[in-house]
Amino acid sequence: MSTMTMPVDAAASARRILLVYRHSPGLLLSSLAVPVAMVGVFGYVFGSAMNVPGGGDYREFLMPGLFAMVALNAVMPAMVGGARDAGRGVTDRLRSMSVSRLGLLTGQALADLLVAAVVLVPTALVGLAAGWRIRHGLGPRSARSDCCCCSGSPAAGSAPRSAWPSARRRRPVNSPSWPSRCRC
Amino acid sequence: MSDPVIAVRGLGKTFGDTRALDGLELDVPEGAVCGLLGPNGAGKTTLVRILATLVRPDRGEARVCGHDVARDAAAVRRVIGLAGQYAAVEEGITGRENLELLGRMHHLGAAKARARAAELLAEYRLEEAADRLVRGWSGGMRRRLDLAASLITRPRVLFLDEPTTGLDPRSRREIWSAVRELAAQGSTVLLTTQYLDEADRLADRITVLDRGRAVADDTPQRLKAAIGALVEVTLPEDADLERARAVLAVLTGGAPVVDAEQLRVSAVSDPARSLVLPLLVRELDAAGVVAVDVAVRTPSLDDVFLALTGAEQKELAA
Repeated sequence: MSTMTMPVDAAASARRILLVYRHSPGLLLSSLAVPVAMVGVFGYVFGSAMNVPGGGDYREFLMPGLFAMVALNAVMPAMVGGARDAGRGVTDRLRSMSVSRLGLLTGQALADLLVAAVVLVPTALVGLAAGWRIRHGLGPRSARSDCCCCSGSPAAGSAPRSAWPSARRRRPVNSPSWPSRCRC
Repeated sequence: MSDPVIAVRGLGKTFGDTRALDGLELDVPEGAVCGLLGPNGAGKTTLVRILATLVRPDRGEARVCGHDVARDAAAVRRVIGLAGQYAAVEEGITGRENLELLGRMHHLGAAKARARAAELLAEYRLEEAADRLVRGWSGGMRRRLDLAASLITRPRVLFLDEPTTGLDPRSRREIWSAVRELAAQGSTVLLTTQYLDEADRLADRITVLDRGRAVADDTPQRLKAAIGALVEVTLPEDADLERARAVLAVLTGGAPVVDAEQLRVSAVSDPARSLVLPLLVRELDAAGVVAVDVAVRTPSLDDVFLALTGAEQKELAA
């Protein structure tokens, strides 16, 4: 029974989360404020102190990092909400119902994904305004050519291309000892 | 009467070193309101959680409407409703949306979920606040919403775990009348509570739990009858205390307690004797005792509770 009702339960579960955002759009603004502020703080205030080894624009490395941060931050409401639900008996109620557990989690994941995607758009726009550019299309590239240390310098070889899947593989670039530790 | 709706046999559950349930037996017939009483840690909540398929028992078995809670949890979930110790509602959305979402999760479909939500909001007098965020609701309203949320599918068996803890007297009464109506409509209700007056008003039967076992299981009236009446005599001065004690000792067959400071003598009468006020007054008068206040009180469930669970605690301390 619960496998067949999985999509229905997922939809209801996602709806629950999205309704909270609809009633409190401020939540979306607050999750947006952090990455946007970070573009300012790291891109402009501290950014001038950052030296990218081999040259290159620090902000071009900053943006993929922020995208990854937005994606990881999307886990936070799920964690907080999950803990609150468990503490208040919401989880107990749902578990005592004839509802697909996979559906509940899937719905929550989809809703959180959607919210993260919405937050990514203005973050990317602010990044574009700060000088970050998508240079090699949106798709991921092979790991080898993606590794900036193997291709010499991040600026020359595979300059930061910032569809964020590839950003996840990239190490911090401002660590001075880093090129010597590269293993690929 | 047909098979009990809730049947519990030799149920045991251990958490670490704590025996939450220790060979519990319980039967609840169809349409009854069963009150579960017990001190903190007696195993009330554990029992409800096992029956609601949230926790698996270690030993014994429990059936709800004939379905085994461990082996056939899915079937049990289709016939039960659960309202726990907290208002399990989402605060960031409206009351109506809360009920609609749960209706969808019960697979009623959007239209029916909406209709059922409207019905329940009307029934629990929540219509006015229905489209406001639950965050701004009072505790009593949240609890009513929570109760409504457990009734979306009109469950045959309803588990209420301390439904009125922390509510003001008015909200408690509202929950009580809701529970009574449910029972009148034929639902079977298992209610845990720490408030003895609540059990007294709502329950047809009361099971007293202590350290994971049922130490009593009867109607509230018979439980109270089993411990006899409480007799209190207050005197204007301490000269008569001894005579009053002697009269009470004869009449109640118990051991009266003299409180010299309050000028009061009290005793619990032997349950087998029927002690009535006129008799007591006549006997006191005959003994030449002038009393300012004489009372014969049927014991409250508090007295029952303390008598049943206190004895075990003394034994524990010894």
